[in-house]
Amino acid sequence: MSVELMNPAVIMAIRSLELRARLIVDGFRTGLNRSNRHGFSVEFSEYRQYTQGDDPRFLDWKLFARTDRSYIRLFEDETNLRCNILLDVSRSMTFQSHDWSKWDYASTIAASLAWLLNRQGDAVGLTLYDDQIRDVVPARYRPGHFRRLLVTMERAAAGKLTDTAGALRDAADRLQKRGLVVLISDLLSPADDLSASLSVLRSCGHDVVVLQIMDPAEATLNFSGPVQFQDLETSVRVHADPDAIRAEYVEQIEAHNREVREECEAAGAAFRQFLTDQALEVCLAEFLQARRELR
Amino acid sequence: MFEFLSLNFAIAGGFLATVPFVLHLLRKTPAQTVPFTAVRFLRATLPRTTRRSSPEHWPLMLLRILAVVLLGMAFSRPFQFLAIDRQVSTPAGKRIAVLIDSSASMRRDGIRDQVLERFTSLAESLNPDDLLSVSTFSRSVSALITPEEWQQTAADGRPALLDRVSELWEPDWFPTETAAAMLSTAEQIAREKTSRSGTLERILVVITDFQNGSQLQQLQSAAWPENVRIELQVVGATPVGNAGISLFQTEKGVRVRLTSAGDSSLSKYRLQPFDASGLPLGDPLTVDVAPGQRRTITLPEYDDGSPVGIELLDDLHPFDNVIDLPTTEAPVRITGHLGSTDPNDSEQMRYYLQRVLDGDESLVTDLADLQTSDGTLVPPPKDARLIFVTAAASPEASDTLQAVLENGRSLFIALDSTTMAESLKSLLPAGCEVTEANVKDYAMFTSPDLNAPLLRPFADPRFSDFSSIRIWHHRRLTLPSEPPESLRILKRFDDGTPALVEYPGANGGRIWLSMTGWHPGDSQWALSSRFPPLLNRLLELAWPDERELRILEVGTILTPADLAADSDWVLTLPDQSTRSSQQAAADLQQSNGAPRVLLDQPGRWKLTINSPDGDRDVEFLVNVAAAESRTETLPAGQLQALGLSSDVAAIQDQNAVTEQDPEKLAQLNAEELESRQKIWRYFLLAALFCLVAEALLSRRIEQQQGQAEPAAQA
Repeated sequence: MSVELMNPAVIMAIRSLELRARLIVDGFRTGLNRSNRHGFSVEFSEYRQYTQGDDPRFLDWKLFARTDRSYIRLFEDETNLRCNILLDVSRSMTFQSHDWSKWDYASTIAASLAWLLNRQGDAVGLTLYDDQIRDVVPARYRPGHFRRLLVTMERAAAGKLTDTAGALRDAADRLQKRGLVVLISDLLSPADDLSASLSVLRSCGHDVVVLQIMDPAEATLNFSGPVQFQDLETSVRVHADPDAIRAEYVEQIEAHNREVREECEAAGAAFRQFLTDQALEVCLAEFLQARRELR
Repeated sequence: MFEFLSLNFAIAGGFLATVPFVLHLLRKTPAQTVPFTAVRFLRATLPRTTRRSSPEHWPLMLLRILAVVLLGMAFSRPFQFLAIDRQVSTPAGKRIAVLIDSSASMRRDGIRDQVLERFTSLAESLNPDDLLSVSTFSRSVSALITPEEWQQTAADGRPALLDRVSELWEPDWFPTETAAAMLSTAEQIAREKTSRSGTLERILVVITDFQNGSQLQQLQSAAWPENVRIELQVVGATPVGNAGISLFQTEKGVRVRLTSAGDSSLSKYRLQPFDASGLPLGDPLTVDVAPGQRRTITLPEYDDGSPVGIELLDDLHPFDNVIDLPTTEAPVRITGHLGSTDPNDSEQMRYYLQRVLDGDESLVTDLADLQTSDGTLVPPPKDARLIFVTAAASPEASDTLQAVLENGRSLFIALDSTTMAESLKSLLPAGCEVTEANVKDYAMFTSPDLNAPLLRPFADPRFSDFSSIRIWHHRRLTLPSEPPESLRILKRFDDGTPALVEYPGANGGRIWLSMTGWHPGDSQWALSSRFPPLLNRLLELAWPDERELRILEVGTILTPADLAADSDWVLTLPDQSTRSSQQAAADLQQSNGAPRVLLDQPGRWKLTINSPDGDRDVEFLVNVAAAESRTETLPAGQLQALGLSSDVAAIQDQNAVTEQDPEKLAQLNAEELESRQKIWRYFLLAALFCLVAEALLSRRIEQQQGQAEPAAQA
């Protein structure tokens, strides 16, 4: 049975970040229920009394035998997790080749993760960074905290340059308790310091998942005709004919991405790459899968 | 097809039209800027200019080529030899109005023959269908031959009409109002409707010397009728050059001005005064005046008598060479004064009296004191017709004044106190009583009798208000219950008591009695603008037969009533003929009920006014207008400089070459055609249309390209 994913254009057309996050998480959970890969990327967390309409495949027969009551096994990620999301707000995240930017996509993923973890009772924090730490919301699990995370993301203004390594080092200094650190960025800067910074976090006992967000145009340089490109962060202008340099560019960008992946994996972090035209539920699924790989 | 006056521009336009074609064969890399993130992974490539085998956006290219070509053709001044002379409809003949200059400058030698020659030539060129009118002009337009006369006269009778010009045309003495004459005539023939079918060509032919003194400025501001063409036929005197003299009056007296025309060949002239019999008086004066300049001369005193006129010698055109000079000098009027002898004491009435009498340089008035500073009486001058009394008089002085009255002289008494009134009791009206009035703040003059001779000059409402004069002190005159009928109250104070009265003295003399002084101690009268004219009027009444002199120009309109009021008058002309006020209704031009006289000749005019105050002569020396002496011919382009286009006004100079270079003639004809047709405007309009279309099309292409780029990027 195939899982029907929601069109990202439909999701991203929703203006409310909270609604997008809820839809993605609910859709993810529904899809998960419909998938024959139940239990995929989740773990058993608790029981819920069976109600009419639940899938009988998830009935815990052993518990039924013991208690003569029907309970549904709920699969969730690990409980009592302290998760800190590092979200890149640099100017490069504003790039877009369709109706939503990388920032829109990244913030939606971050909101979805926060909602998913929050429903599990996990504490979620948020750090916005570009070349500096712009905003920090400590990880909490309390009423209204999710709303606070959303507000922080919604009012974030486009930043300037990018210093991902600096943000990772700051997180390492600031986060006292071990937990999960999720880095969401386009990671287009040189990957020189990335491994060292990730290693610092890992050495503090944190699990790190790196989610790289790219625009399809960045991946494939799907422009036509000679164009004068201007860097969003440095304002450097380069006149180039995409048709002439596309193959060369793709080779270089892929090489960079490989390097980033290698740096992450070398530091013991899980790495996933997403394009902004991919279904967001897949992002959640991949995230959970990556989370499991760290264990 | 078109011909071009400047074919080079058309050729240049053709060359330049290749530029858009070449540009459209080249394709330049667009400079669209796209924001991107992974710029460091991009390898820079240079913009490429590719040659294409076919032009890009050919409709845009065609519009640009066409715009350049049209501009080139517009600048090349195209015209067609399909002449506008080829009438759309059958020509209906010409309407020709001839204006012949009859101003004073046309009196010069040689001009008359040229005028008649030009007119004869024009008359010989007339067609039977042509409609002719002839008028003369100087100060105004006068018809010699009306169009109705011409139309109603059979062809065999028209030569007799034409002869009227040679018989009746005579220059007058008036200045040249050329513009007014041209405009009025042109507007008249432009409005004329014709019963003829076809197009009527309307031509105004002006035969004139076109001298520098002609009044042409009105042409600059007025709109010339579009359907009227001007043919200006310029005539000139033989020999050229002229100088003239005129008279004008300054504060320091009469002066002679010599004006030399710009084309004069002389720079040295002689002025010869002559006496009443026309004989030279003294040696001529030599005056240096460069051509185009003028000079003012002060005549010297002549021991042999005063000249009656002066003649400019050495000038060959005598119409402006003789002027009359004033024959009488301004009289010296002697008045007497009894009162303060200090002319510098501003608190006394004498101070202000002296200032007024000294202020008129044209008429000398001496003020003789009748007593010295120590009170010693001085016999009054026998020529003193008017005595001012401004202080109390001793009995001897009072007797002296009484004797003055008995000699038919007049007194003006300004009472500054009741004491003064008591000392002059014998001179006051019988039975009257003078007391000091009780003035609160100030009193004012009211109820002036503007019919009285003394106050008649103030009859104009602008000058009749005496209420602005503040009187601090005055005397109250109480007249007997039955005052003499000859006593006349000229002004009153605002309390109703007499302020100024007049009553006769003996033997025609008169006494004016003022109940206040004009010095600051009594009033503001001396400081008022009414004071000097009042004193001058007193002097006029005391010297009624003094002669006045006015210098005017020929063409001035004189209204004798302005000088004579209701009195009878007789006007003597330079030729000694007369016109009287009784003849005015029959002979003179009426305007608003007041007879007017046009001064139509230079010379000495005299207006004798028979007024109750006595006969008075006013002499007018009438000059030919100085502008008529500036006889140099205006440049050929003067009409164009005043705004008339060259296709409206054509000038035929007296020295016009009859045979012209055929090539030059052809060029002139072509230029004439081009200036009439103005086809360049249509090419320019078409070029502008192409540029607008090009702009709209370019914008549309840019928009289309802009929409294609995002689609390609997506």
